[in-house]
Amino acid sequence: MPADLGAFLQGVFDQVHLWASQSPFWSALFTLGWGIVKVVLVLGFIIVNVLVLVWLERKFSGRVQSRLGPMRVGRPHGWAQTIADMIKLLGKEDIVPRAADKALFVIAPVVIFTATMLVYVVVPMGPRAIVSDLNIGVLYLAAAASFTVISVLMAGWGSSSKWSLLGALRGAAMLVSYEVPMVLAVMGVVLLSGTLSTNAIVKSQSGLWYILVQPIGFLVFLAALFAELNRVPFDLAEAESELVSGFNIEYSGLRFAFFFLAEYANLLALSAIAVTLYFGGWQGPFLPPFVWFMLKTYGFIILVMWIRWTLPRVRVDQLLEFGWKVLLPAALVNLAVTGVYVLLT
Amino acid sequence: MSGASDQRSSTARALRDHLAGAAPFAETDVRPDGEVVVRVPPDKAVAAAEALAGFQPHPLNYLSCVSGVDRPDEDQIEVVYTVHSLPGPAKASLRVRVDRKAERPSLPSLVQVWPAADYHEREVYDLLGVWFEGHPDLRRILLAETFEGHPLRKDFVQNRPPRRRVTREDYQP
Amino acid sequence: MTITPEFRPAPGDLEEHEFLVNMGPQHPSTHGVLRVILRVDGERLVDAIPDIGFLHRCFEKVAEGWTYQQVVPLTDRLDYVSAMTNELAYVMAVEKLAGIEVPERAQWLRVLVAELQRIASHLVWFGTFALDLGATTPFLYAIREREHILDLFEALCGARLTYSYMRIGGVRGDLPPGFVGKTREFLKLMPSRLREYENLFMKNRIFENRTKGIGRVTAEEAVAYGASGPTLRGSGVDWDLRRDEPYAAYDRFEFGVPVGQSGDVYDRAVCRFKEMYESLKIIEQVLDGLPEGDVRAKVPRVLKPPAGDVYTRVESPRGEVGVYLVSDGGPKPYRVKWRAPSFAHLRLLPVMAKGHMVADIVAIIGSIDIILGEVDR
Repeated sequence: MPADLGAFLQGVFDQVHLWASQSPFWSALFTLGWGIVKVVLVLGFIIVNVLVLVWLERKFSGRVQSRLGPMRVGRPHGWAQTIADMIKLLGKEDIVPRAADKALFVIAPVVIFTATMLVYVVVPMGPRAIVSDLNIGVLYLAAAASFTVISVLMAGWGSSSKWSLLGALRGAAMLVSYEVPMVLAVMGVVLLSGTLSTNAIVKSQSGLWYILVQPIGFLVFLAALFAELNRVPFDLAEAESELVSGFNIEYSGLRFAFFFLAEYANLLALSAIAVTLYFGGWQGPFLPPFVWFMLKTYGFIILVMWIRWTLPRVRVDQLLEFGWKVLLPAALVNLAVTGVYVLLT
Repeated sequence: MSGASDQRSSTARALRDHLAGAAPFAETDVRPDGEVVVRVPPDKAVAAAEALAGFQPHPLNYLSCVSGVDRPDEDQIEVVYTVHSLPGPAKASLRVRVDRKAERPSLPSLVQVWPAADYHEREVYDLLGVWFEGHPDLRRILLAETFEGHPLRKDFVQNRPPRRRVTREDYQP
Repeated sequence: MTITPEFRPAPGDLEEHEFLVNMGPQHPSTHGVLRVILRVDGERLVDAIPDIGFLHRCFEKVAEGWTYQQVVPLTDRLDYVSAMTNELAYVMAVEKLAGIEVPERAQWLRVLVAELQRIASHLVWFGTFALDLGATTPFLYAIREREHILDLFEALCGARLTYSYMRIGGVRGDLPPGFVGKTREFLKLMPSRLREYENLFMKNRIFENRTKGIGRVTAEEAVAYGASGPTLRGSGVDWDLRRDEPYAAYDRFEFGVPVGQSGDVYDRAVCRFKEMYESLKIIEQVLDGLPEGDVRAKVPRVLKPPAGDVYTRVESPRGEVGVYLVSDGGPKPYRVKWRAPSFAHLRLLPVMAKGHMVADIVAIIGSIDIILGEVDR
């Protein structure tokens, strides 16, 4: 069935492409149309999965804490809880603090969501199911992942509140510091696979998943991942119990919903990237590639959530120390060893 | 048990003797449980406190509590400093009475001798209206800064200043 | 520097790169309505000025208008997390003033509930402390264990938080049937749970990094500022009122008193945690040797202690709770002054906070285990 469906869709696509290539106008329109279709598909994917993820986090954290989690909204196990929460958030009053920098305040949630969506461009969910198979995929990833810093700073500064500012500054310092070890760790994978394209990296893991040959790289990547995701133990920008929601204190209603969704979309995106780089992406026997992809991604997400609900929070200077003095050298050593190995083989 | 209470009584007597020398102006009393009650006039409070804190071998270095007791029938407010030695069996209460009818009933602050007196004295000032001369930061601690009156005084309810609306001018005169 | 509620410092009060941050009365980590005004230089704290009084309920004034027995439920509500020790301090003061002798069984029961209360209070502290530091899970576990204790209290006196169990001259009633059995079950399950939490949280590397070396108080400072309880013992001063000035039936039991060394947040936290183990030991000894007898002495309906005054102190989970009681010979107290340990410890806050970072203030406040109910009264 899936093979036929794929072939059928491919046939439709080719036919339409052929018709459109008759004139430059139609060709351009086709490209635009196809781009919009891809965006809508990705957006749909994100939204559905984010709804599931929020529910999953609440259920999982409940079970870890020996309680049940949502049970009522949507009879079996509260599956509609997230939808209800989103509706509630949409109905809230849109408060903009009087002293806020209105432009920054308003744009920040949009920027963060956009930044998160940018990562999905290079996430391969199947041999050909990727929005755009850039052959500089990993470089693009490093650039796109840095975007969130801007929005955090915008939100913190634009809120015109000291607590937001503290949170934003901490967040920015953390995000920037952990970019470097993250990219260096990924460089190890790039060396082994010989390509920057994410789909090619997945294909090159058909014999051996990179987690097995890059254990240190993976650990560095994992630590940096928590920093990029703003999750405990590295959730300084938010730090609920100290800063009461940090850089997004002053946000309410739909704008807050954007931050909230962006956090989980980011979680999904970076977990997908982790799975792509280290766990063989969509590779796997018997099941369709997409199913493998989803299984692995959700497995990784469960691991991330597990760590979140176990550990306390690290203080900002300890965090930065850890990033620069432990992770960076480890990533460099990893890179050096991998380089030597590649050279010799 | 009796060993401990013996120790307490002998310590109390030793403390009393020490005070007879170091603070002769003080009236002292020894209670059955070993507490030494020390009564001094306000101007001698610091000297008495220092004498207590200098008692050897159990210097009374631990200020447990500063209580203000309003005694309108004697026209006085009594401020009681309950001090202990830590560790050790010595226990004393330093009692100073100030004139209630004065505009600003006051006595010297004992923060220099017992830093713990800081917040306790502020509370006595706040609730009873006793000023402590030399206190580093004497302002209301429990009640609002604009509160008028001293609630723990026995006549507060009858003679309460009329309540008025607090406005911005109270803070920015 | 005068801090007005409008929160604007006068020009010249602050250095150029400093600013004031208000850790307002509403805050997830101030354990109640505590306001701390932080003077920060970037992330470094220059000063931390507490502002209290948001929970002032005029306890001392109200107590002057009620009879001695009627004041007992009022004392519950001061340190509401540890109500039994509050009541104990008050009834002991009245008994001392009036010369009432409490029966042996009542004294033992008082110790029993006080120690159960200590464990419950320390569990709340543990949960909220973990929560402050970012680990949300231990809170749920601590509350789950505390439910066992609250169930015991509910069986004993009908209430889960504000008990009114102590009476002048004894306690309100004897143990219900099945109480001893349930308590023994609780004693069996607690040590392993406590060890689990120790491994989960207290021995966690991140926790140690966040608490070691933070909020140091030397022994001299602690004594000078009137610290007590684990706050004092964390600095190395070996002083526990249960052992050194025994009251109720404490002189009959063997228990250890954990003492720290460096007076930082970590040592205070470990002291408090270890106290739970010791309390379990005491409870076991109480159950093993509980004597028979009355649980309440005969006290006149209208109690008029002779004129005079007394200061009694007990070791509550937070430290030394003291009651200075003045009687004028009438049926109502002339003056009830409540000495709250958290009030004294608050004075240590600026001392502890100097030089640390904003994230540390939360750990420091948590280590003092402050309850605003007793600070503000």
